[in-house]
Amino acid sequence: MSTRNEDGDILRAQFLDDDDWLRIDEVCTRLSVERQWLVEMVELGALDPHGGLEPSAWEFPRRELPRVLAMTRLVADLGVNLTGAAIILDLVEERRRLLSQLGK
Amino acid sequence: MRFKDYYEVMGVPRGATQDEIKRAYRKLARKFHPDVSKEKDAEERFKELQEANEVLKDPEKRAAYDQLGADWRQGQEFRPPPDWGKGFEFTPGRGGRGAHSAGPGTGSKTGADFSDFFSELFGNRSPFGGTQGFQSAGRGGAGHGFASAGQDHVARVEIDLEDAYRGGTRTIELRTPEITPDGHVTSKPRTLRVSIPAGVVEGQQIRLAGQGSAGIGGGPSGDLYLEVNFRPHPLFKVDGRDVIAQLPVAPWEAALGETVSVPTLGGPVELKLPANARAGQRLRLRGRGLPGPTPGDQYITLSIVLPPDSPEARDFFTRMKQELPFDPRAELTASGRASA
Repeated sequence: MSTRNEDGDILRAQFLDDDDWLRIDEVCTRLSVERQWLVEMVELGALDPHGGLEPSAWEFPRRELPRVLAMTRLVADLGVNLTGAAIILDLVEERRRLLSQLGK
Repeated sequence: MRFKDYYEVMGVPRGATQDEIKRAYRKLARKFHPDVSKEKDAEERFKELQEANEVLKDPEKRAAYDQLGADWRQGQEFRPPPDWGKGFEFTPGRGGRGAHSAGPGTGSKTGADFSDFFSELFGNRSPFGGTQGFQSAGRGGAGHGFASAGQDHVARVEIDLEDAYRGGTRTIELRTPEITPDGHVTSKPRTLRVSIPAGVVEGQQIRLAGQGSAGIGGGPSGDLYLEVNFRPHPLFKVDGRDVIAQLPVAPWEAALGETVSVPTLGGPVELKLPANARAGQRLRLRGRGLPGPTPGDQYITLSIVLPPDSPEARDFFTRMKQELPFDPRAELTASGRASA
């Protein structure tokens, strides 16, 4: 809580490093998802952790967290399946790139 | 508190069937889901929609809501009737599923900051209580003496291209769900001053450590991820780290290969045009795009602009016409003839 800015301090935003990895339990806590959900995502190839076969040994890149959260919400809110959610996010990204090239 | 017209939010008449409500919800959810939608107010709209759906999809809640009568208007000042909830049979232990109940575990808790109106009538302390997600900021199950880290959140932030180039401080407004001492959930506006690192690109996420949900029982706060979007720029477009701009030049500048001043994010630079430059020709200013491990380039596309109309200009062009034998369509007419 000490870093919360109540006094108008300037917060420093950081880039997400490629070498910042989180254990599966930490990802579950941070995203408020069940462990089994992450296992499913890995099985479907939507997530690619380090660390071999045992989920308890898995490590996930922190930079993937916003994407995992977005996929989770799409599945929960719109009733699409994981593959559908992954395709939606790819298309949204592509649309963003095209709109940006058009200056919109 | 303000009355919420859930039928208006869903765009259905009060007499709509449960199936019609389901269809309306799905249709609007696709349109306003914040991970997909381009609408500016998608997040707010989607939250409203989820709240409306939470009530209307549930026959018991819907019946209770309908009892308030059809005369209330969206936004009207409202106090719940003293006998609210009386005379209804409640299914014991019902509503044990959060606002996000499907699939992925406990899921994200965007439903945790529904309106005061919802929270008063259907929330935790209401006769309809027992809905998870309205306790301890959506982290149900955390008992006393138990410490747990807070959740991570994602928000979108719009910045100017100049801020991405140089880095800059932005003030952003967020709405954060918060629990009042009497157990209600309200969404409280929160202002953060954020220093954006130089070299961020469109769509990239940057992290504010400790600015997500507060932890429980002294656990650390979650993080806040900001997804960066650029505001449209009057001169520049971007593609990754590359910056793209149009450069208007006079016909003689193009013809003679003059040196012209070109605006870049880092300030104007001098560029010598190739002699006989064409309209539409693309030139590259290496390393003048957004900074990064490999800095982007700036591309400029030439457009050749005639001087404004004047007697002098006309004299000049008339002389060119007479003195320069030139047919810009020679190739077109030649190939036209060949294919005829």
